[in-house]
Amino acid sequence: MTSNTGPEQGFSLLGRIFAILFGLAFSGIGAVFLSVIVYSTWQDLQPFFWEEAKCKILTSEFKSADGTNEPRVTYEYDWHGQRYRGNVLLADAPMNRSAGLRKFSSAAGQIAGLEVGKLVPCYVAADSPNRAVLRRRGAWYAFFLPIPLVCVVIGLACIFGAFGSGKIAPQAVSAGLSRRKLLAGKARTAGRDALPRMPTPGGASSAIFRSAKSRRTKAVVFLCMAIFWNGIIAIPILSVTGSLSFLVYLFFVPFMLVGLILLFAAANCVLALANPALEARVSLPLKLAENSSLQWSVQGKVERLEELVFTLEGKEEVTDHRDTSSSLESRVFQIIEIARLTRTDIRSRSGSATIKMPEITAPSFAAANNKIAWYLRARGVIPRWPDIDDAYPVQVVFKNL
Amino acid sequence: MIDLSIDKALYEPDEILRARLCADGLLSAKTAELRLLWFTQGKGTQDIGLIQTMEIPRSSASFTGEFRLPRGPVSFRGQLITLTWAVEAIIDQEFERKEFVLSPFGREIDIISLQTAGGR
Repeated sequence: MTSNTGPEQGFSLLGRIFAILFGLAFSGIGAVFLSVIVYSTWQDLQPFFWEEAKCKILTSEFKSADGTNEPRVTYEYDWHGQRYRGNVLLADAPMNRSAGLRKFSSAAGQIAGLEVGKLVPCYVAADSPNRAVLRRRGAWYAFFLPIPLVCVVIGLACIFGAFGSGKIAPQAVSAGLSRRKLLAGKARTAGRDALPRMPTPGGASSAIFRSAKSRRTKAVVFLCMAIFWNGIIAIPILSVTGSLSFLVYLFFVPFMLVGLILLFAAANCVLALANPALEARVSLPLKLAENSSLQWSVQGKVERLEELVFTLEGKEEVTDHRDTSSSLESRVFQIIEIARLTRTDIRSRSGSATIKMPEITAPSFAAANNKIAWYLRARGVIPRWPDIDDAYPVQVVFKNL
Repeated sequence: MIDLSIDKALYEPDEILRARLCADGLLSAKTAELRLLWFTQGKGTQDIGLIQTMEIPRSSASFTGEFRLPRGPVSFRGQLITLTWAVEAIIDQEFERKEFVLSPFGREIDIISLQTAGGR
């Protein structure tokens, strides 16, 4: 018996529209933040190249606005025999105007040492001497530049993926497989449910695995995680105030690193959407000590694939529930190589291989917290691009079933 | 005191398991049961599969019960999970357990020592 969902080819129209809209929104937001950071960095760094002059403080006070005390300072300075007046404390960078960053330095801290009548150093633009600032500040937020940059890359990759991989087919696991997906899941239940569900004798079917859907799901999950995590940590980072802010930033360094790793992983998943799409047809269930056939095909830019390896992988998977937390652990206990395809094999775009099942191994088993899970795994090597690494669950049973 | 014994330590799927039970307090016991089950041990939270429960008659101090063993899950020993089959006798507050191996391979599957194999 063969189950298939039909020869669907390519992204669905809805999926393509979603990918393009998502990519436009994501890269647009990233581009806005990228330009704000770049412009602010440029504005904040300019005074470091200006010339120093002596300024006399004329007024120095707080002005209450929006519940925050804003420092207002006016000063005058002489430049090549001409007197100028200024009221700019810091460079007029957009990042310095944001409410969160105004709080970063307290108002009192910003005008400390700027008493009326005092002569203080200020920085004057030589080519435009009416421009001056009293304070210079390093554009520390430039360190966040990679975040919007990655957003732009992800967004563009989504758009590229939607336009550039029209031959990627959606995944459809056979109904026959999903009905008998592994063994009994509720092992704690007494009686018949404690027994693993066995396939009906003679009920062999072939299942077709396709890579596109699992890749899309993975990309969306990682993107959501990256946006959520980075959004959450951005709030305290941008709102931090006081003299101990350095310690707060230090505290957030590991969280920011996790955020960057998530963005990297999300970018990797999105780029992987443009990988050649795989299709594998396997006779299921796989029976111990019997041979089974694997038929594979590759669609898309197959010339990018350097090597493609199909393996069957047995894994112990456990969940440990303790109090309110739970942890997952897994260990691969057996890898059976099915086929190692070279460039020449791959360029034929399709082929078959024999899965030689061992005589003795642990068959599939699934209880509530403990599993013996088997996966058909496809690993493809693509130079200078995220590799293919797709895994599909398969069922392994005894020969006499 | 419960004296529980089974006829062998290794069974194949679909085989009949005979459990012999001898207990002093069986005649006056309020509850007396023989259970066939499997359970996991290892890093994960324990799973237990209670396959069959047999009520023990209180007409004599000894009893022999039979269970037809299912096809699986088979006994295996891994790095994270070990699956063990057992027969348990529970008489009031007392219990006794005899563990055995269910496997079609003549031994428990040791998945720690499995090697990679196969080919095109």
